[in-house]
Amino acid sequence: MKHYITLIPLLLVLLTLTTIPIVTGQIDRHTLGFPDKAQLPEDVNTIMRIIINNTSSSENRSLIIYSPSLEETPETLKDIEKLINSGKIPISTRDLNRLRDISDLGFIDAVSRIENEDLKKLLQNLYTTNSTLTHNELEQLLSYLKTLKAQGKITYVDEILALRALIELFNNNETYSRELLNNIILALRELESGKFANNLIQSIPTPQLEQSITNINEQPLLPRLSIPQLNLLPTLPQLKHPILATMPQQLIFILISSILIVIITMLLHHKTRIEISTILTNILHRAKILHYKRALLSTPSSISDVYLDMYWKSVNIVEALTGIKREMSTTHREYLEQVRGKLRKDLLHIFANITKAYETYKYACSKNSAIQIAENYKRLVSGINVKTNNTSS
Amino acid sequence: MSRIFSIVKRELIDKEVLIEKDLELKLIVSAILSRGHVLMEGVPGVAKTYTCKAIARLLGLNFKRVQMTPDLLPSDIIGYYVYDQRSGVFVLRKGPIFTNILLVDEINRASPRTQSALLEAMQERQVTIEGENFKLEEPFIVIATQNPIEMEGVFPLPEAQVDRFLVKVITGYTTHEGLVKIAKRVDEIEEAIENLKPILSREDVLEEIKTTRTIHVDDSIYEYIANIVEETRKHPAVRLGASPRAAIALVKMAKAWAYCEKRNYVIPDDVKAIAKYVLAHRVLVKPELEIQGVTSLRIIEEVLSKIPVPKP
Repeated sequence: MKHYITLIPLLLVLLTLTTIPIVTGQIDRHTLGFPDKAQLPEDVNTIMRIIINNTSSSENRSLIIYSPSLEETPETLKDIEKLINSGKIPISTRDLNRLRDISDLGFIDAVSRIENEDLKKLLQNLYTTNSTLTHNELEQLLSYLKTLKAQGKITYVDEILALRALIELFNNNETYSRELLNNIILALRELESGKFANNLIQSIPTPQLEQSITNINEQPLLPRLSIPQLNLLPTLPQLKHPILATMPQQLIFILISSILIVIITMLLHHKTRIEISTILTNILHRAKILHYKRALLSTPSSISDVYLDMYWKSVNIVEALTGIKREMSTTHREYLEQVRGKLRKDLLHIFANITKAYETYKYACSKNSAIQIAENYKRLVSGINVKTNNTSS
Repeated sequence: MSRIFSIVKRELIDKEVLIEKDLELKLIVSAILSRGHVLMEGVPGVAKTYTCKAIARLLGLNFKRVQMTPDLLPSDIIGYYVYDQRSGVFVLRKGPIFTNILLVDEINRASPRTQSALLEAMQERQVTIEGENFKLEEPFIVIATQNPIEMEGVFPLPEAQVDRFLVKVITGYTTHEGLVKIAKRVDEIEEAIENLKPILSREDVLEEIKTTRTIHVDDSIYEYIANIVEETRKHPAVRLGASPRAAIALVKMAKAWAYCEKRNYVIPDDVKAIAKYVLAHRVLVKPELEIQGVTSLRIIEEVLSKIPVPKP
């Protein structure tokens, strides 16, 4: 009867688990412990300005200008040049000089401003061969440029200059020119977007950068740069489990309730209480034995005679099992009598054999007893293992 | 097991000739095996004399009994020369001391002079009569009894003389069940003791004594005994601790006890078992503490619970 009662909540839990997709209809990807939506700072510009103010000296501050967005999409190269010259694109002075007069640049001038030698050679080769590229080939070339950029081999400025050179090369093809122009605008947008930060930091001279970091760390109200990202993770590791992460809150509530019902139902039954208490006792007992065994293996012995050492180790085992400590003034026979009735019968028999063998080995100089000590000690240790396994099963 | 003890056990304990006297019998047999003398202390009527007589008869040894009185002279115990008119020479009349087992009843009733003469014989195992030395026949064991409650007309044994006794056996009353048994079988018991026949010969006893000497004692046991004896001297309640003779007595008795336990080696349990009986009469408690109820037995128990047994 007891088992039937305890089975009902278990079945309820299983039923609930199997109907999750039906009830929810879709998987909720919200992880418990986190807000539903990321609470981004209200104004990225404000933060950036703070960073710039902290990271730049007053004289350098004018060199780095940040523009959050391209207010109007540039249509021509002149518009792009105007935009760059307006200082709204966050680039360093050096890069600004490289992009100066971009609308009027010829192929050779554009290529000469590129820093990557491979890209330079490729473009020069295209120019010298004067070959006509198909649209697919142009796509491949643009893809190659992106790859180089992704690998960090060329900068945005190199990319823009390469695109400018290609516009010059395909001047007679309106479609290609338009596409290349779009790519330049795209590159400028990327500069404007999240990746601008890298360029921004790179643009700051090193001593000033270090000073800036120090300044930031000294600001009490600003977040410290050294805050580890791990702190933002959920504190309970189990909440990171994919199953729990996808579970709606209601379902977890149902699960916890069901488990509580099971526990309460089980506790209401006297026999179950006894069983639980037995299990807990066994667990504690097992932990005690395991703890002892670890201590036994790790503790170096001061007894030089290995067989006498075995006896004293057996005493330690029996002490751990019975909780009866052998006093210094207690003889081996007295201790055997003390643990009689407190030790399991088979283990007591083994320990009695060890004690008897120890007595004759030590006090009667009977060397034959050494084998008995060793054999029984082995049996005692394996006997504990059996007991531990039984407890665990 | 010692043949002596196995016979005593079978004939006296198992057959219930002596009821609830297992420990006393074992201690007396151990003392015989150690060639030591026994002081039995107990109130009147606790079968002290019966116990000694029964053992002596079983072992086939000469047994004599002397009832001590204040007017008893040393010559009454050791003997004297008497003039034989027929032959015209002095003839030696040997006293009761010329025996194997001498039961000296109520030793504390004898005068100090008589006690001294007896104790000298116990120690030297010889007597001097009229300047002539006479060796006593082996084994020579004195079993003396004394009544602890009578104080009038008695001469308590001096400490130095008490030390000559190997063990002091305190005989107490039997339990209720034991008393009922004795009451029921009183006639049978008396008859059984009178009809006891010697099972061993004197030579057998001597052989057993010889075997007892061969019992192995580990060095750690000697250390253990020395520690116990020394500790009795350090105890704050002790006026006079155990002597080196006490240590020798412990070794001898431990060997005999082990032999009675069917072992040919001594273990710390043997020492613990006999320590009370070997040391208690040798340790003197400070008078001020004695009044408060501190006894030498309690001190010995304390010492035994403090001294570590040999390890490993």
